[in-house]
Amino acid sequence: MPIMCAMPIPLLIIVVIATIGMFIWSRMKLKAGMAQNQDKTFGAVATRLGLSMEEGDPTTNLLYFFEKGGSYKRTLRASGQPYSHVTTFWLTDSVDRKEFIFTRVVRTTKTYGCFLELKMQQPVAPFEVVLRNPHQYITPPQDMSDRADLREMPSGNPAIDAQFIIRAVDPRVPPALVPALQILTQQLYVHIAGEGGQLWMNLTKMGLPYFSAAAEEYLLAFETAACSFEGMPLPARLAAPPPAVAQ
Amino acid sequence: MTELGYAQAPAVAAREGVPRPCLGCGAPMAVTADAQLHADATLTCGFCGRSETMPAQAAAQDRYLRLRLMQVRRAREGMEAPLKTYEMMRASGVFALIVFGAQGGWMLWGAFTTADKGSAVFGMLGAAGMMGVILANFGMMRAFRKLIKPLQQARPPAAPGLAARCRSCGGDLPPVRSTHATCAFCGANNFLDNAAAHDVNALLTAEQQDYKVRASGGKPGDNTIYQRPAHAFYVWGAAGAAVTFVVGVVLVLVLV
Repeated sequence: MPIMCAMPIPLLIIVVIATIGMFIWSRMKLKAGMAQNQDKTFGAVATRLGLSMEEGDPTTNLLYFFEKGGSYKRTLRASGQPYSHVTTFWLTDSVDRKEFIFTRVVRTTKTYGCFLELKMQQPVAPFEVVLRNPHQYITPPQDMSDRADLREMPSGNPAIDAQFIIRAVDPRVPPALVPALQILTQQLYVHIAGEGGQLWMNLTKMGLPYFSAAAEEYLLAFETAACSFEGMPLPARLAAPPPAVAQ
Repeated sequence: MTELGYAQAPAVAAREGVPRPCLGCGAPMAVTADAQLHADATLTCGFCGRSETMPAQAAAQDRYLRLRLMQVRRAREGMEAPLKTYEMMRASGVFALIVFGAQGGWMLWGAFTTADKGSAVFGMLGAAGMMGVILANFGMMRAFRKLIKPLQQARPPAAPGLAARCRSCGGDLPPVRSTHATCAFCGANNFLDNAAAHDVNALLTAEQQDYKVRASGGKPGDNTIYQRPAHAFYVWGAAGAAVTFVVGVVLVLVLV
């Protein structure tokens, strides 16, 4: 085919230059994106949440969260008391890569975990909340999915029940969660679990960008839930708080 | 009832417009809300420097209002998320046009100058693909201009001489010299044109009418409209490629 073979040299040069330009442009775009999203580094998110860095590299960007090359282990941790409860945000991940030269086998072991945790002053009966119809790629893990004592319960708010699945032991818990869940109605990633004196959110790698964009709202929802359970005034409110349901 | 399910407290509605004189010098104090949601808002005086942290109840109410702005922002960002695809395609369109335009032009030229009809028709396949990409970019930008740009228009000022308002949260927009202004309250990008300055009354009436229609549940929002530019890319691309190929083959058969 003469048409396919005889590409003129000037055209070839244009195509090569444009391709290289596209590559350079995409790298610049990524760099600009990271610079624009400096508020989504671990340290910046901690500051936005009113937490102090305790461990790890604060420049790790949660919006562009990549694995490092080779074997490594990193832990990032920040904690503080932005409202009335002690809150911790931590992330740990590792890659252990072992190469067996003689058998030509490469074995890679990966770990990952990221949690927002809030310590309450009073214990609460176990519960777990997730979106009823999450996006297929940002489904949160359900830490209590294998527990038979948790049953889906209504909150008394039809809009909240249509959007979230609340599994709990104590029927007083879902209604107390309503003010907190109303803060998260616009979020595509929602996971709140609680047991004993602790509330937590399990963040997957796909959930991290959503959390980094709206960290303040997630924290406020946690604080609202804790205050609601303990019968304390809510941190963002227009009227009196609901009655306590803590055990 | 409010979004959080509690009765609307009249104090919050009344706070709007209530003067806040400084107890030190009498000058009006400004409410300074920290960027961080957990921080309580403060009253600060720009003259004597006096600063007072709001009482817990008032700070909680202020936080509630800031949270509402965040939720408005989140809802808008979610709805407009498909526009990121458009922006990415548009930004890389220059490179695509350079490469595909040059290559497509060369293949078209080759198709018409070769003596072999089989080679000419085969050359038209490549040329049609390249023309498809060029037309796809054109169709995508046209769809954005016709469908999305009107939605991004800033709301008119509440009265002549005042600032234009954000299309998303209704807050006053900062004075700018360009055709775009970013809302300082909710981050929405607003398009400014002459209509906002000249047709204020008509635009305000239309806005009021729109609220009434929405409040009566008569106008459900079209959630797919922000996907239209990307759809237009594929539709125009496919149609452009098909038309180019058919027309090209006919011309090849006639001319070659």
